[in-house]
Amino acid sequence: MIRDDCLDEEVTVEFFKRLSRKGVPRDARGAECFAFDVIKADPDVFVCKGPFVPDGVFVRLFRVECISDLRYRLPEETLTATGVNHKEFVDSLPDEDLQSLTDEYDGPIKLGNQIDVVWVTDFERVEPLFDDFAGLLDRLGWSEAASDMGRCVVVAYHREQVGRTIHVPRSLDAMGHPEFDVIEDCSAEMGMTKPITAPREMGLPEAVHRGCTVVPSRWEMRRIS
Amino acid sequence: MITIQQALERIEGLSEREVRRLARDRLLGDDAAPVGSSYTGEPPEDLVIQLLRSPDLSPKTRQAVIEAWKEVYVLLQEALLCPGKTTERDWQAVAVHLCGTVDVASPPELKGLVYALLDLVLYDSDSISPGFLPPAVRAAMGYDQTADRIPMWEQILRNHPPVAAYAFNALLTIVPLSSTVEQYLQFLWDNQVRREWPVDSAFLMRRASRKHGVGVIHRVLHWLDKQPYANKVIAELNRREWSRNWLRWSSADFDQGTRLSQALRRAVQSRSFSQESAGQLERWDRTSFYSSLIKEPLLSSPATLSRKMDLIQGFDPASVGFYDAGSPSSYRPEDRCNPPKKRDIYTSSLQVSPTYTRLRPHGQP
Repeated sequence: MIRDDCLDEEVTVEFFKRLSRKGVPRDARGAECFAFDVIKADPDVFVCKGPFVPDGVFVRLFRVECISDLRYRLPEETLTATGVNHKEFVDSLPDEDLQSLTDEYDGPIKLGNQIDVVWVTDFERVEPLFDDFAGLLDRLGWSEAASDMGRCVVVAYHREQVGRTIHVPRSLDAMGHPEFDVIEDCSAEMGMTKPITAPREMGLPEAVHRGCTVVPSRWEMRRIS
Repeated sequence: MITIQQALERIEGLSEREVRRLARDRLLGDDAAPVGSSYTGEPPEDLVIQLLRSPDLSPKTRQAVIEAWKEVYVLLQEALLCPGKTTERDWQAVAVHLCGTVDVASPPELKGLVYALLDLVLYDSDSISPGFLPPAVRAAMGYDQTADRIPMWEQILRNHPPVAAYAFNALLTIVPLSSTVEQYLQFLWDNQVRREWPVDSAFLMRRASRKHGVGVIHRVLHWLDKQPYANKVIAELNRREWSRNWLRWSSADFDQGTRLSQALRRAVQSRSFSQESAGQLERWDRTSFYSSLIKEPLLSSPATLSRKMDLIQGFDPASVGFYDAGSPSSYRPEDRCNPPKKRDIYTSSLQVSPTYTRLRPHGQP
């Protein structure tokens, strides 16, 4: 785990207490797995503990999704109604079927990773950058661009849809997230993405919230290049 | 989803025994630590999926992964058959991991076991939660289907509404006759509208038309037009632009579309074009042609078709029976030197009155 001086001391102490109960890891990967297990077992205690993101920003939240991830983002009943199996999502779903599940679909979407964290950026900041979509993905640090037949899905939704508070990301939220840099300013109002090739200062605002189901205001397929 | 490379890096330096243990833990959900980036949801089985999809995995390591899958499969089977005797855990999640692996990777070594699991879930459905059925069906449909599976898929289509759409898609890959496909679609529409089955029949109909031509859509709509619930079908088709366009088609459009696609298919088969033209045609056939037939009202199709004919240099209509399909008397061998204008080929059937009455949107003639 990367050193994070801004985490609440109580949370840090509890985390290491539970980690020590796991025993001695065999190697660095083992240590990472132990840490992940601790957080996964009790995300209420460990994730989204950074400061609140103020109300005036992140009014609409934005994410990019891999096509192959739609198999667990879309509700089971949508998958069963169309009969699209997971293999198709990974390597062969035709554009027009995909568009039915994205551009024409206006139902709920499930968000959240294994430790119940959703990484988002501020839609108002990214919308003007849509013309250079590949550049936007680079600035977001979105490393999955090469996969999924050059396609992805963009998701935008209103903050009130989340039903949970929005937080500045801290290191425990970023367990297993190599693209994350610890925010050293403890009073920062938001985090910042880590661009892949663009200069560091071109990173975009970044925040986290707990897993939830939302009805997006924007949910559409995009070609990456 | 993580990449194959990330999956291979994760097992770098591990012995076969360690790989087997890792795969087992991922399938059970005991190890869910991300291998890629936790920006995504990355379910634990993704690692196992990508290992099985990797052409670079050594046979011994692959065998270790397969053994891990079988080990977890046995545990799941025990849990399903003797619920009180096994460890307390979320077995439905385990079934999702196991079946998800097969769904995407389709390893030939596991085909028999997947069908055995499907049989178990189907025939012991009284004691097994219905939540096990969709992942098991998806896993089975991931394999190439053969004709001997038709009765099984038909049985699933008719008796298991939550997975009927999967069964239809599986049948679509094996059933050769479009008339049989139309019967399935009629059955699904009927149950969607009258019994609120959770199927998206319009979506499935569009899929069927990619394989069997737009005539399938025409004939099913023609049948639906005569049903007492035609108004509900209109409401359903009006939900989306591409299906709304179907309501503007006339029977002549469909006949023509079907004839043309058949003729073009025959032309490709008879190799009456140059290789290059045939290649162009095939590409167009798969991508633009069907989608243009589906997306645009077919009344505009003569221009589209003319453009298509222009593309195909050296096209000899007589060689594919194109004229025969339209109007038998319209083509004579001597016309080869003086072919009719392209527009003339199409106009005759376009004058036929529309067949649909009730399926037409309100306010349209």
